[in-house]
Amino acid sequence: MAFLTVDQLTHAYFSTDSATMALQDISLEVQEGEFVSFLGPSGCGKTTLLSLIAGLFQPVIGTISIRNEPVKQAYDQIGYMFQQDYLLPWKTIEANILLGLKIQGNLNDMSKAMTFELLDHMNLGDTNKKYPHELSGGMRQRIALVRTLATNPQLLLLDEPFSALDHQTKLKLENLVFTTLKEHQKTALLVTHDIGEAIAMSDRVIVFSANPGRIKSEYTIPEHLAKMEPFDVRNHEDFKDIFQMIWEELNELEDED
Amino acid sequence: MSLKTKIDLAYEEFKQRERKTKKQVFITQLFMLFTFLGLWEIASNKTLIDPLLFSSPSKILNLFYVKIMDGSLITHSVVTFGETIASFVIATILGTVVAAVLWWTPFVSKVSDPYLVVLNAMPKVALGPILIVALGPGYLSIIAMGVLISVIITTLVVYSAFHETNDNYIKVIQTFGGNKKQVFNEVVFPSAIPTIISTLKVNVGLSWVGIIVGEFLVSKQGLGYLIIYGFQVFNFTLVLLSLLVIAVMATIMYTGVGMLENLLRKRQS
Repeated sequence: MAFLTVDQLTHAYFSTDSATMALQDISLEVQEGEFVSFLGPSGCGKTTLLSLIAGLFQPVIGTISIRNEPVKQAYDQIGYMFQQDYLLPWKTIEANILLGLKIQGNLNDMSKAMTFELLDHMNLGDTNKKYPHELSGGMRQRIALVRTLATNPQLLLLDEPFSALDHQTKLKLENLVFTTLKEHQKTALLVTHDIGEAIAMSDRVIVFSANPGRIKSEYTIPEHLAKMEPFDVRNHEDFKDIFQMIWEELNELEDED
Repeated sequence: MSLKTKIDLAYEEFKQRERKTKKQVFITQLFMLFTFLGLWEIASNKTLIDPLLFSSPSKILNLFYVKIMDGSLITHSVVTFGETIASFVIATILGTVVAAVLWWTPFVSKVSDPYLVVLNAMPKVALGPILIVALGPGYLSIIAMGVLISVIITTLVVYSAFHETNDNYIKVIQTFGGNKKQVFNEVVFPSAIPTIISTLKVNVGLSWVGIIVGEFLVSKQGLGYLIIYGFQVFNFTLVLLSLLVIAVMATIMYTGVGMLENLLRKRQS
């Protein structure tokens, strides 16, 4: 049985003037512990798909289930990382990372201690009493990762979490997220428009076409690359071939439009 | 000379210049005040301006002393100050609560939109006579006047602050499975606090308008009453004295709110 099942999903956005089709007939399965990337041009509904999986709103047609349970009730198994950290500026780092536990009513000495351990693990143990604006972008995104992991979700939804960072920080954070997720054996979905990032981090890359968003093709990353840390994958000789293949595919998509 | 001492010296010089400017500004301000008071006194003494109408600083000071000694000025000031604080606190809390209700129930907010626009556009002091009839000629209608004048604008401003909360912060709460109450408590309300504090600043001014007008209409006590009384018996020294006391008290309240704002801003910026 697959961990996550998306079955014939179609979604449209309604306004008084028009109905815009965002996703059309998406079906996919993700196995437990797998890292899957959604790659595609902007407007292909990648973020919509992620929001639907997160249960933020309901699809017009189709179902999404995690371990055969519809996602509306599965929020405690899902962790979401955004394009920016969105740490609440009026709360200290401590209050920010404990936010999820507090909302889900699971705040106790043990969950607190585990969260602080995670923070220590990111070498940010001394930022506890600080406010987000006192920290750099990379530190804040790492804290956002701690906040996401604090509720111990099984499925991580990563919505271009590295796109607002400078290149060096981004590469470092890719490694950190990759190793952290592997260590805790999490399943992850990454939305990105960066081909290199998708290849470097994933076991599988799903390419989307736009208007409306559909699954165009799927690439399974060879096992020896999938196991490597993202930075090493980027430097591996096989990386270029896969990059080239997906690059041409995406160019074709653009020409079709 | 090392680079460090050079920078230190330049920094000292910079600080000294800043201090000097600050001092000059302050001296000029004092000079303007005393020149104004002096000219006023002289003009009034030489009847260049009508002393009956414009009084003079010495007469005002004299009256101030008399009124302090017989205790009446303190009583009037305390009454007005109390009414203002009450109306300003009630208006801010009431406005925020109504705004929260509007945010909570979009249907109510859509329905009430045109009514709020009309209420906001209407000059609230015109409702004064109705208030007096409804609530009786006492503190209650005066405070109601002060509340009425600032509550609508507070509601509108705070509601729009609630409404404009960054969606992504709300999404953070929702991805954790947070319900509407948690979204409001964790994100919507705290992110609107700076706006609420700045409406406090506006409300200080508006409450004073409401209270003084209210006192004009009904009261037997308070600074608004003193102004009307002074006007009726043609004692403009009393009118000017009351005005001065109002100016001082309003400034104190405004500064207090400003300090509160700074405190909060430092905590969350």
